[in-house]
Amino acid sequence: MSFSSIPFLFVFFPAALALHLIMPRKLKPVLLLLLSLVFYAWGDVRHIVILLFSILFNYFAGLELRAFREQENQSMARIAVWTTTAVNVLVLCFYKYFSDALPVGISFFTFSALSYIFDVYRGKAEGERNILTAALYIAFFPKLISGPIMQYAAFREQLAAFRTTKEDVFAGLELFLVGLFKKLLLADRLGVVFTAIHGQSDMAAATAWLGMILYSLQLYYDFSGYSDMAIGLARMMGFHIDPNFDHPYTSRNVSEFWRRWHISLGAWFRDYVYIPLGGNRCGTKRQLMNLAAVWLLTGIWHGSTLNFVFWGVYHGLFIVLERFVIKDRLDAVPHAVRALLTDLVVFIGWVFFFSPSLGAGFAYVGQMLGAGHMGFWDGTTSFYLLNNLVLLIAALLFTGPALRNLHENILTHYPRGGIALSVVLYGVLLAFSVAAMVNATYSSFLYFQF
Amino acid sequence: MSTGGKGAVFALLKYMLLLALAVLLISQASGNRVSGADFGSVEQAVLAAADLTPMTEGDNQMLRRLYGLDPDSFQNVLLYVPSYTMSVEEILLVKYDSSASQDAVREAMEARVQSQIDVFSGYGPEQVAMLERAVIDVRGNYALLVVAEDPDAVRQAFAGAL
Repeated sequence: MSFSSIPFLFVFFPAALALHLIMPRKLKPVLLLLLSLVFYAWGDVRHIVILLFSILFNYFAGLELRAFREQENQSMARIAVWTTTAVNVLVLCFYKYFSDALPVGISFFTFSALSYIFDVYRGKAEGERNILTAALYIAFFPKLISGPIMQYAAFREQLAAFRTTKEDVFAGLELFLVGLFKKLLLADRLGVVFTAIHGQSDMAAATAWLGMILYSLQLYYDFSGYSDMAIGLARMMGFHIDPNFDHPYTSRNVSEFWRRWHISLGAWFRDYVYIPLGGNRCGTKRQLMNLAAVWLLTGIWHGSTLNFVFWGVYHGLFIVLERFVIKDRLDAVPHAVRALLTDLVVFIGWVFFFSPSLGAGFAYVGQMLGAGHMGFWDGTTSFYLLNNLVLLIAALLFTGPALRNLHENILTHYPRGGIALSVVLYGVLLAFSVAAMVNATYSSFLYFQF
Repeated sequence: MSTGGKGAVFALLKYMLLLALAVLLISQASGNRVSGADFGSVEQAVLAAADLTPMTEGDNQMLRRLYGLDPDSFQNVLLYVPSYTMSVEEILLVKYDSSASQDAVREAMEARVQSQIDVFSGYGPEQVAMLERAVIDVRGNYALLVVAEDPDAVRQAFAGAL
């Protein structure tokens, strides 16, 4: 079930929130688990058995690790963690790369399960005796389908003391509405224009550039909108999940971009792959190998086709270039120029992300460089640009923190009027979002395919 | 029980679950095997389970126009299309040689359903609801699309005939 669908917004969400708020604290985890299973089955009943397998398999693996750790049998614990990881990865690879139908959310709940296993193995958390807790961590519905991938130790800590306050409900609702706005009023509209442009077999160079910019903005609003909704929902249920995006298109270099884009996935690879491999506390050669492993895995996590592998390696190469060659030589360059250069690198990378194959990606880049037969600019370019100028400007404007800062400043300096203004603003956002939802045909989130 | 013994028990439970999953995956994979069933018998079973009142038999040209599929690339095709402007009931049954056709047929069927949903969105809620319940079942060398009041009955007849 999608957060931006009528059944979720008007049936599941209000029912879930009402039940959660009236339920005695002791029973809340049971309720949240049941709601999570209903949420998953509602959207993908065929694959609920895979989710249940993941829960049970990793629950037993956690207990196995706990027993071996208590016995201080390190070699058996190592065997247990390797076999558990192998099975999780094999099941993920089977469905992701060899099966016709991908269980929705499998990449995310598998990575959550692995976080649990690694945290237990490393002693950051204990193997969970209560199956409800392990199951809720893997299946918690706000983060089940597309993250953010909350690490187990953090989740466990919050579950032990969780409670929902009035502030949590309002703050969560606010974030949810912002996410809904990003998805329905920005991402989906940008997506319509991008699809029309991408469907053309030949286009002027400027049209191809416009298509690339539209997709880059669509992906950002689609995924960050989803993440905002997920974090907002979790907050309403009493869980605080860290932001998954932090204005990534204002980053000054590619490394910074990856600290601000899909932060939870970056943190997962950092904590469970890069650092255990030695991170940057080792020689240059080893660091390069560690980076290569992380970026290759990041690419493959998104898809097995060569375009995703290339996309991962492409980002890895820029990070190596920044860390070992450019270093601080660009420090004197103005922030805006560096942000534009970073966006250029990142946006070109997205071409390989939206292209169905590596060849198609290069063909699209070729069109951006004028390899088509339509020249640099034609009537189609003007048509798409002028008809979507307001949308484009709004989308570019919202990538930065200026509007959020303005909103916070108003609230700080004019609290009473500011709150009234906020209520009106969010009411209008909700009304427009619902209108867009009712009028539009269903549009899934881009990251559901992963 | 010692903690080491406990660890072995949990490991055993873990592997039993893995075995259960493997059995499930193998049974799913065998569901996709090529069927030796005669097209005529599958066709008969499908038609017997369907209510053909709101449909008329379609031809090769319709397969090209509505689905963008080339009839010559299939061994056999059975197509029933809506009889009236406001009806959406439809059946497409195809048998093909190559499993490479599976994805193309599935995509064509999904695209047809989506295009019908787009057509009826806004003024035909009953039709859209029926289209959203449409069944697409691709198994080995056969593929079936059913848009009907009770698509599962047709699907079951189809599965039983393979």
